[in-house]
Amino acid sequence: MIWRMIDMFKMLPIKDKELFLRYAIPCGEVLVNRGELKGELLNRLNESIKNKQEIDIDIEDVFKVASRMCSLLAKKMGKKEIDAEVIRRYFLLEHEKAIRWRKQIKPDIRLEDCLVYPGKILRIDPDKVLVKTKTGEKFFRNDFTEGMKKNDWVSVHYGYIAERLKENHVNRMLKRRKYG
Amino acid sequence: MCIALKGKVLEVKGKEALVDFDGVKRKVNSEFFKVRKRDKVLVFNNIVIERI
Repeated sequence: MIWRMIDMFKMLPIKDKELFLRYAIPCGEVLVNRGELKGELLNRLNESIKNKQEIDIDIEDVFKVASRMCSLLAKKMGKKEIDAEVIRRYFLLEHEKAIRWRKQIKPDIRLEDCLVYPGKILRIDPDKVLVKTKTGEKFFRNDFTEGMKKNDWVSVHYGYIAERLKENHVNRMLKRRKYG
Repeated sequence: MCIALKGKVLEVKGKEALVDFDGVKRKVNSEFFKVRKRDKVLVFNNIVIERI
């Protein structure tokens, strides 16, 4: 039907794929468990980030929801691609509203896992990193922590440390009342 | 987690659709996908992001 071909949803390209994946990969295991993503593909993406290899996978398709939300946000911000500013604005600020909306309708998720929130690195072990967050001290995976050190402020998402945060992002995120 | 919810369109009014998510009904923004009654859709953050 012709009218079905005139959808307004146009995907924008992801410019900063590594940054996007640092925030999206943590959800990957949930997608694998739900049968929506192959574990092998997730491992390849994970290794690409860790080894700083080129990403030759269609990540817009793998992480359809996050890339579509970033696309909408980029358009709202007057951009023609999904750059680092869009990715951070989505995952650090807008993502929380979306997660809470979902939880309200279907309470099958734990906010503590799904929300992206800030924390301070207390200790880096060979296989894990201890981070102090508003919800207490917890261990996170150290997959993407190259170059990070004790006392760095970082964003955490679903058991992973996504990236080191700048002060202005930390302050904006810490103003929120709760993360659980 | 950025996993959309599956729902069924109950009614459409302009750019808004009433969607049933397994018994929970919500008005959502359908401006990016033209939807019709009985369509199955994926919704996230109150926005239809795909028809299924």
